[in-house]
Amino acid sequence: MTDPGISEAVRSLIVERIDSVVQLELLLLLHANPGRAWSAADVAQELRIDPAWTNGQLTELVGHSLLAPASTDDPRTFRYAPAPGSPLDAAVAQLARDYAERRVTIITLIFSKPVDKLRSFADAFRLRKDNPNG
Amino acid sequence: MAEAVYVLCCLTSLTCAVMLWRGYARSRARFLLWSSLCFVGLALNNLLLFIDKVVLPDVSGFVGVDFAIWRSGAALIGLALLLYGLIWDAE
Amino acid sequence: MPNQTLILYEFMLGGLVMACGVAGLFFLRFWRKTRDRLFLMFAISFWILGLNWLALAFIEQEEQKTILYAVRLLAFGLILFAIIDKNRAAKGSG
Repeated sequence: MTDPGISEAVRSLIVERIDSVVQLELLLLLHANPGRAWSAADVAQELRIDPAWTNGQLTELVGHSLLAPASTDDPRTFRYAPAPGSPLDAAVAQLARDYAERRVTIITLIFSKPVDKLRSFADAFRLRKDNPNG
Repeated sequence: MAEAVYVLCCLTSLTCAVMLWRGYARSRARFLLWSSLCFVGLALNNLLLFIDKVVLPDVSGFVGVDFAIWRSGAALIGLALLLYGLIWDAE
Repeated sequence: MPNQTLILYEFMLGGLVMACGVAGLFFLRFWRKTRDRLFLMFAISFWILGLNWLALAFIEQEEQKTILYAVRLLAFGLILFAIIDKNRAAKGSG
């Protein structure tokens, strides 16, 4: 999938850290409101999706260092993680612009990720089969 | 104490083998097939160790071949399969 | 153990140590690539297993060999822990 318009930074951001369009939407929502702490319920209401599932998706983004717990007291709130000016933050900002201007290209990129054998190996050890990325 | 450890190791290996086999059935990724077989080999290694040291401590081998050879052979075949999968099928 | 068998056994142990070393290196690389600590734990487990077989190759007294079950327990215990850890991290989804 070669599109000269999408930068390498955005491409690797998607390939390495974003597994679905919903995760993309979650990331961009929190990126747009960097100072705010969101709970899974807040986010679910904002995007009109299932709150229970949202929590899992937010946690996966935490695992990829895109989000972080908003406070150590309450692990159920999340905030945008990358530091302003860091390469990751720049990539997310670029992704936000690309998604606004070339939505179909970005979505196609997410869906065209090759079957990840290493991911399959790690997921084989999950007992619950309802992994949305499986 | 050692007996319990050998049993635990065997069961752990079997658990991994089963999980990876099911993962292979789901994803058809060959790497999981080789990994699963590796853990079967490790399970056999621990099972034979248990049989050698606990069940038949006075018997040194099977059909003329020392238990140690059977044990290591099972593990070695398993690891060879894993290495094959790591090199050719893992990425 | 007759000498010929011993030689074969030691040879196989050498192969096992090397195989575990290489497998561990692969898992280490996968950890670097995916940032999934399951791979790190598998790498360490295989290296510990390799140490187990390395020790078996050089230790001669049976009693000392039996103590190696503790090393084996460590290796497989770490694998078990990796599986449990993977499932605890997944609790939030679905």
